[in-house]
Amino acid sequence: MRTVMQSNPLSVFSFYAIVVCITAASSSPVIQLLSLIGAVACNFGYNTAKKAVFSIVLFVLMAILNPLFNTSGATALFFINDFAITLEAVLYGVSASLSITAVIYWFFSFSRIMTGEKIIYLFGKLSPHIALLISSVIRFVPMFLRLYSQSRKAQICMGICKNDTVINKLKCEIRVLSVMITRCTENGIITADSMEARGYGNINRTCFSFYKLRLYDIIYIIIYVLLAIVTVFAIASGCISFEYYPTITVPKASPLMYASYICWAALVFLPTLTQAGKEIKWKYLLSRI
Amino acid sequence: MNTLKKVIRYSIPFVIMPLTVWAGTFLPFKNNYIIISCIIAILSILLFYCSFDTKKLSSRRLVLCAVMSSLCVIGRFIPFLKPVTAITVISSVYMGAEAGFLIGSTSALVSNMYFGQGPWTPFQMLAWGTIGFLSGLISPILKKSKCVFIIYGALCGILYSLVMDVWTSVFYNGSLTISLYISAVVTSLPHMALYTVSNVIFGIMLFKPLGKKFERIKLKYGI
Repeated sequence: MRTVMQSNPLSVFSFYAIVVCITAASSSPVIQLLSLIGAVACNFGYNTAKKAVFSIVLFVLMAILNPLFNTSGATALFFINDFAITLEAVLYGVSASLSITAVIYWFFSFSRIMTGEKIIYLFGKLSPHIALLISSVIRFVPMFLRLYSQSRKAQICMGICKNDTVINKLKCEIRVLSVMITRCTENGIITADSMEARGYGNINRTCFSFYKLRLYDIIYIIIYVLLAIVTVFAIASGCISFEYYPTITVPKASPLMYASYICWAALVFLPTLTQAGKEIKWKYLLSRI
Repeated sequence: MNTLKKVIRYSIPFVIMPLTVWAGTFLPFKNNYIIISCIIAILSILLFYCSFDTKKLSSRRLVLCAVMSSLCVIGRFIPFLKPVTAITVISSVYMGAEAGFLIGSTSALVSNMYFGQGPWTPFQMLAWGTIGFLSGLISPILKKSKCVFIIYGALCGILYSLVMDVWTSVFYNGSLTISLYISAVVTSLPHMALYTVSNVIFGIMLFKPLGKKFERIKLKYGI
């Protein structure tokens, strides 16, 4: 059994689609908070200090923004030039920015896990030509970056580019970009000719990938859907929805509410739990050597 | 495969898109707009990809598209200035509307692999792809004079920023309100200025040399 993040791209993608959709669309702060904690736990062990600072700043900005534009709400906290800042608007702003921060955190791990080949596996079947285009761009970018720094150094070395003032630096960048365009397009034509010589375009193109849809991938997808259905059903029946305007109404406790919270928490923490299980097994096996 | 493409080509605009919007009104959530708009953006990118006649895309054109969009991705690494739009516009002027869409959308997708994917990726792909597509359609006008080209580049920068602001306010509030939209536009003014200025600068500096290069490659290799 593999962890959630190691399973087939299809099941990873459906996990993210379900979690992100429900997080972005729900108005319950409990759901949003659980989702945020799950997303942060998912990034545990990776250096995300910069991203954390960015998302905290975003969180504060977003939370401030709402009360400045929204005056509906019964409890006024204070007035700025006859403009009421209400408690309800502040809390609504906090809830909205919770959901946005959670979504952004999910996407931090999404961009780490969904590498180029997985994206090509998912969407390459629609059009093999476009899959080829994307995969060749992924290959070209690091190569061209290397060429770029080479050409830049050569230009500076020859004394054509001066690396002193801002204007000269800008001129240098544009000159190097222009050099790169000539060099890369010429090389590209040669690549294309060699592709054709090896039989590109003679028969229909297929995409190579070593991902297989195994039984546990399907089981994972079924688990996600079942857990999500309970949560969505609870949201639809309105038994976990918070009302902000005019006054805050907290939903009454009901079995469905607790069930949906538990299901949502299980869904959100599933990647972390499977990962932790794997780590514990690894440590245990190491200790027995 | 081809029948599948045909089905997709006709079913997306006439069946799936209206159905999504119609079903969206029944969704139990409060913030339906963001999900529905994301789905519509993804569907329209799929529609574009499927309706292109990729058989016409010879290997040379395909590789040239790949080269230009990887240069766009590299352009995003240059600090402060963003030559992405300028390169997309110039290359789609010389390579046609379909290639323009491919270059714009691919460079958005791949550059986000370096700068971070997010719910904004489909919108960015669509916005850049549309810029490329449009400039391919009006290429005869743009080829003629540098002045028109630079004005068009500046407009593209402004429009791109305005479209992404729509996304920001929908994502924040769940719906589009005028006051929130205006505040999003105001907060993104520095970005808008940056896009516009760098489009103009790169337009002035790259228009002639790049045009010459494309003409030469067309002449030399007969693309």
